Amino acid sequence: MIRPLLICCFMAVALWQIAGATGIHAKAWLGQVLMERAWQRARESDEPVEPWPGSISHPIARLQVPALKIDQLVLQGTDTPVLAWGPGMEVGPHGHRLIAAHRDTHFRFLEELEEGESVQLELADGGLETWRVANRQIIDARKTGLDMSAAKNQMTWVTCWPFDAIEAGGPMRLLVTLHKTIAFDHQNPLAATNHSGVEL
Amino acid sequence: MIVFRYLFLTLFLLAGQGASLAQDFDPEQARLWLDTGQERLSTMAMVTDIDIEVTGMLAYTVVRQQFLNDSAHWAEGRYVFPLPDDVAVESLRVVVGNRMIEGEIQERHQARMTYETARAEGRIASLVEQERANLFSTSIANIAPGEVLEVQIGFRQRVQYAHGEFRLRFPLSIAPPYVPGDPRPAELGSTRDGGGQAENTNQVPDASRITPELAGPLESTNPVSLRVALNAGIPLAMLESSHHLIDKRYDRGTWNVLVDGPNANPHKDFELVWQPVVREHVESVMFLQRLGDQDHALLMLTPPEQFTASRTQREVTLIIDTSGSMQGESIEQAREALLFALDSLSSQDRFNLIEFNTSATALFPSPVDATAANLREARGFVSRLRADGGTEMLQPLNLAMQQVMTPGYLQQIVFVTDGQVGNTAEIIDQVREKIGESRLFTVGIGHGVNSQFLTDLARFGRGSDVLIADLWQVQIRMSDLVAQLTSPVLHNIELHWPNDVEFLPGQIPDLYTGQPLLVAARGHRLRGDLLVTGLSDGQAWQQVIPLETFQTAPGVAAYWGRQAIQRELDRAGHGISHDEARQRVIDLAIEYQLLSPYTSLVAIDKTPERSRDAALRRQDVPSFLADNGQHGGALMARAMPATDAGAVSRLIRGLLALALVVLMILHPIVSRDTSTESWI
Repeated sequence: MIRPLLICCFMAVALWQIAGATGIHAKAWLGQVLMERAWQRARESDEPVEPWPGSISHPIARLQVPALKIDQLVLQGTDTPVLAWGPGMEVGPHGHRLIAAHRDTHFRFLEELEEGESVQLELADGGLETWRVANRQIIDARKTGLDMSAAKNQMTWVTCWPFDAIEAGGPMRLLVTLHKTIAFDHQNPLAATNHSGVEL
Repeated sequence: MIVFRYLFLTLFLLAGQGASLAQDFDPEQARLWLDTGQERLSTMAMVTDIDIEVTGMLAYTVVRQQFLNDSAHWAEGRYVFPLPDDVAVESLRVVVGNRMIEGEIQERHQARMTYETARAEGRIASLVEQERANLFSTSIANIAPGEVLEVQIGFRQRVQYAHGEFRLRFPLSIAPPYVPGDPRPAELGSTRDGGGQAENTNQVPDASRITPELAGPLESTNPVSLRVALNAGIPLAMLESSHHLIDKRYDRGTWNVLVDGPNANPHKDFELVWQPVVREHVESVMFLQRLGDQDHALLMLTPPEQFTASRTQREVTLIIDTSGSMQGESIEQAREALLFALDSLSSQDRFNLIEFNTSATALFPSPVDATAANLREARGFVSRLRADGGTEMLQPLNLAMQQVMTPGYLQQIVFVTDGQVGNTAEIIDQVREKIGESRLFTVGIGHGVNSQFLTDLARFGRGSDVLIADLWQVQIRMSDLVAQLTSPVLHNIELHWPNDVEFLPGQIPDLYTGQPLLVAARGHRLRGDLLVTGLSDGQAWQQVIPLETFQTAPGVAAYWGRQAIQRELDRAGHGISHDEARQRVIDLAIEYQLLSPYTSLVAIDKTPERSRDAALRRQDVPSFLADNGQHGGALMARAMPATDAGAVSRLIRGLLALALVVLMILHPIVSRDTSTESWI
């Protein structure tokens, strides 16, 4: 009598957990799809566009890593609910960009991202920026904070580390630092300047 | 440079010559030795913080030293450091990251075993051992690469008082001791097992433990800061530091003294001197601490400034150390001190002069009258003195103690030296044995003096000791000493307690003008009147001290414990066997939780190093990237975002549950053939 009950229980647990895991991936995928439409509209208007009524965030940039065939929409803010739908971005007082995403969904590709890799960031106002991966470091989140007042030609990507950890919520983070190489202006393509290491 | 000096030293010792060594031994700072298993590196203490709290006659000090393992390997570190004489070391703490490891007193051998076991297991461990009465060593095991760790050592000491002046001394540097004897043959074990610069010799079997690699004055870029919170309890007329510039501030009954930055020269010993406003004669002060069911007391008696006006005829033997370690300013100070002592002689006195380095030379075969001609000859001898060679201390002392004494004269030996020798125990033994009715006074010269040794010599010689660190102090300190030498003495002092009380020192020394008598006592209940009796020039003298008024003070029990340990150490081989003395010292040290030659402080981390990550996981102390000033404005720091959706863990849990379901469904099918009954 107990056996079928146990089987049912474990089946339920299995479904619940697998559904949860699938849900996370589904949400991550769905978020990007739903956001696509809002992003197209946002590029045409000056106002931020809500992807769906009552949504907690909106897309503000498009991140592309051609070498790894990565094309993601970046949302405003880095709170946990936002990160479920896509990578989140925060901008410091001097223009420093911080992008955070989950290690098991959007930023899974950071595992293969190598130093020197070229990254493109398309902004809602139509600007296209090219960045280069400067370095990768593993840090302990309990001992290190993020300096949001860093310069605007620097961008930091954060995700959890290690990528194959079983338990969630570990203290270690992978920090990827990127430097802006060329500021590309669509309106005025000839005004491209090299800004490496120079305050804009 | 230093390595070369020691190479020379070793070569000379090997050649069997106590040859002349022209070296300028400057007092130097201790550094940490790192042993990574592959190489030996040295690192200086990055920060040394000294916090001294003075209450009445006792001081509690915490020394904090931070070290960095700047190698790329796991390392073990060891360093040797000096502490003031007569200290009672009672605590050890090691701070690594956010964790603090507290040390405990264990029997020396057992402590070493505990330390070595922990080291082998990969735990952080620290061990503090006493090498000499005022020289200690700390070992630290399993320092991670790039790790900063802090060692805190807490101890108590007594404030010195004489001639209406209080004095607190803290040594900031050590001078390398002279190590006599022949190097021990290699068959008897490693000759440098202690890791020091000198090799073990037959006279100093632990030489390699007490001769650490030292940093020269030019290398001392590491900061030292020293703070004193002085709670004198009485208004002060004067508060000065003898060798450092200090910043002093008065706040609600406490004087806060600070020495740091460029003022904190670690190559000079720190000395703080203060005088109370009221210089009226205070007969006695008692400090009390009750520990367990015992009263512990520290009693200070000051005899009246003048007993009688009569003058004693003296026979003075001056001994001067002219070894290599006295070169430079030290020999200048010693010369000045000697001339001062010569000037104090009256025509009724007799005197002699002995100079020693590798061997001893007396000016006269036996003491002569202090006539003008003899004194002139002596002054000429003093001005020709040059510092050079080894420090063979036994010869001159034996020479002085074996001189034919003139009856009716008070025999005084004045010994001027920096005390830098390794075979201190042997010298003290000789003095105890041969001193007879003579009195031995020591004059310590320079910074980095082995003052513990000189104090011991004076104690067994029933005299007193003075320290002269700088040339300008010669006048002051020597006049104090000369005043003592020429003043009438209060002797045969006895203490009569109202009830059964144990007190120290058991043999009360002679008392000179301006010198207090310090007695430590322990009894079930210290109440009633204490009667002190003595003789001054044949006249009976007595004083009654009421024990009813006292000030409570922490550290009195520790002071008693330290004195009691010293008593047992002194008795070893003189009344009780070494084994018995050792056992008594261990019992006392454990009762009062003190470091001693037979007990050590050992601190062991309970968490093995290899699972340090796991240990850290439990703590959650956020801190932020340092602002390196690059952006000018305020630091905008934020914590890391949570970047783990938990999909992996959910998937794994789900798959596990699914696997269980599959197993449960399959089980009856698989096991049907072997078992007839299906399980429920």
